[in-house]
Amino acid sequence: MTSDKVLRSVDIWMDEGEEFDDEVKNFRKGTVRKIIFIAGCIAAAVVAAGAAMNIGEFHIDFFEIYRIIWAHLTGNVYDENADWILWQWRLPRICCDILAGTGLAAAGVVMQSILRNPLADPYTTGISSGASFGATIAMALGLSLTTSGFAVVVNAFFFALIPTAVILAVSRFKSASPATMIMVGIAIMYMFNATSTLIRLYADPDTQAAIFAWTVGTTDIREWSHVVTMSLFVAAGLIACQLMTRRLNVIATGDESARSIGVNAERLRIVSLLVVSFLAAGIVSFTGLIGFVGLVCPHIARLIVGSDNRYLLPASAAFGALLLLIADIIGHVIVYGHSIQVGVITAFLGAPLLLYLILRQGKEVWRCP
Amino acid sequence: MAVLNVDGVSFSHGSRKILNDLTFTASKGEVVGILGQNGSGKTTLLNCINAEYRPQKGSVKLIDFSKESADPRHMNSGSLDVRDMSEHERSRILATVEQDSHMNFPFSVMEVVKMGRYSRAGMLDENTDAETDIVCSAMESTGVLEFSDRDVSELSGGEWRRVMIAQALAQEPEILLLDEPTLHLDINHQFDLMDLCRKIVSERDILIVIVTHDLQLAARYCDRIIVMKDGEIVSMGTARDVITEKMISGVFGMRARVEYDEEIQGMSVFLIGRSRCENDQR
Repeated sequence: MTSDKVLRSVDIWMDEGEEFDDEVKNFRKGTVRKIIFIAGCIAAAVVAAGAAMNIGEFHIDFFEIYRIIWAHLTGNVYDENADWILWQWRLPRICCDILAGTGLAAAGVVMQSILRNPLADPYTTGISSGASFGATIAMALGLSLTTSGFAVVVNAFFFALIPTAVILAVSRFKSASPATMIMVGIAIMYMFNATSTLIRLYADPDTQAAIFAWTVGTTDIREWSHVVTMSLFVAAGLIACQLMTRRLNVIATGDESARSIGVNAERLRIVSLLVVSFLAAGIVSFTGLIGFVGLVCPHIARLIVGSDNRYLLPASAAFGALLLLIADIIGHVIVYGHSIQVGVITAFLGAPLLLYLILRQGKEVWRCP
Repeated sequence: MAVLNVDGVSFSHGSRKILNDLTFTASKGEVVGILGQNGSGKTTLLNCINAEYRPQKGSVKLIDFSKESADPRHMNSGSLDVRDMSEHERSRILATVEQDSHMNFPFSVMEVVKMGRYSRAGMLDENTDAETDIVCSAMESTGVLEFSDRDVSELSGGEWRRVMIAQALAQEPEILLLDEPTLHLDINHQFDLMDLCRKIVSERDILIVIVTHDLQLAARYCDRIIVMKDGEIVSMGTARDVITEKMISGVFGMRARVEYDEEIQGMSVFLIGRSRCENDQR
């Protein structure tokens, strides 16, 4: 009799434990898939980084590259030449690819979520142009990235706030469609780019070529000090973005719903756009305008990971690093003996997607109001 | 016992007066219906209650809510003006399901309901068993558990409405505000939804305030009804007292037959047609 009772209560207890088992299991399965995608992107990026470093006049075997980097890190360099080539010529560029890719792709996720606009990224909304203008002014005034990198970036940040303020103002109009916002962004972009060009016309003629490369967006930097400064800005920006992801999720159903769930929508919009400007300034000051990374990566990552920003942000960032590394490889192999700036390659990838999204508005991967 | 206290609330948009000196209280364990025609100020009243709008005069206060829900600085105050609370704090006491919310992103149903836990669970403990149980039981009680992994952009209007109610329940509020919850729903889903409201009130012992223009559903399912016309309360009390043939013809301009029905244990309203009585003949 007592054993019956015990058995029954055990049954009940087991039942309670398994009440929502299927749903929870399904949900966990989805989470695992997301993590696999992120890990896969990171692994692919590591391989792509090796492949990108493999390109060049001086041949180094693919696996040798990782060995040389490891040897340098642990402090017992065995091949001086290869070590010098990698550390002084190729690795800074690769680091720049990775930093710019992760930063811009993360900024794209944040902008698309907060503005509920599938077309938004730092480039299409003019934030990058503002930052680039700020950096140009700083350099025209005689500040250099090597000696006063922070000052240049800070100036870029302040000028990136101009397009940010415009976006905030436009987003207050309920009638402003995603396309309207982008058109405003493009108008701002033209204005800033024209002014930047004007300033550059009066710059030192010797540096014209370098400035041209910078206008289209290049990751070809040789200075470790640039990489360090850039990584500080990108790391800080990424952490700030990741901390906001839960709030960014909540804002998806609209400002009123977000407030009802407990998120101050207005404040979140301002803070997140500030963080995006900060990230964009930190990247654009060193690389110039690399377009569309922030547009392409979130869209592709969203197809696989879904819309939960907590996973979408790292997934998109990892994919961004991979994309820029691939663009870098393409740029270095497509024309023999010459290298094409990554900005050109990403424009070839991104512009068609932007066109597609504009033409299909209302029916594309995620719905527009 | 959580109480909602609306005291002398007046609200105007520019020069247009929308709400004029409304006063009422409602406490937990009941379904309160706010009834009125289009443009009578029902939704504006709701927006004053959830602090979306700031009334020019009067105040909306929450009294005797549970102490765990309040911010530490408000622990000892027995009553709080909704405008003095942060979004974060307010959302633990008050949940709103809007009339026309829509989702721009392809989230799964489960993810959307989980968002309701934002103000309760921290970043790290949201995957614990206790949290999952709260989310799943909220989904179970609105009947959306069976499609928990579907993309919300594939849902029908009624399913989406139920997902939003599940999200509000996951907030574990003491007061739940529903704006026209039965709008655009099939007749059977309308009744399901109102049955659900009754079930939630009896299971969770909370206050549900429903804004609706549906006379029959309000008469049948609400414990108390507040009837509004042109921004003023014309009548207030239990469904039995308020829902009368005279009120319906006065407020809605309809001739109706009203009686207490034993089978449904509520008021049954039979609408006859446009009334040709007092109001229209003037």
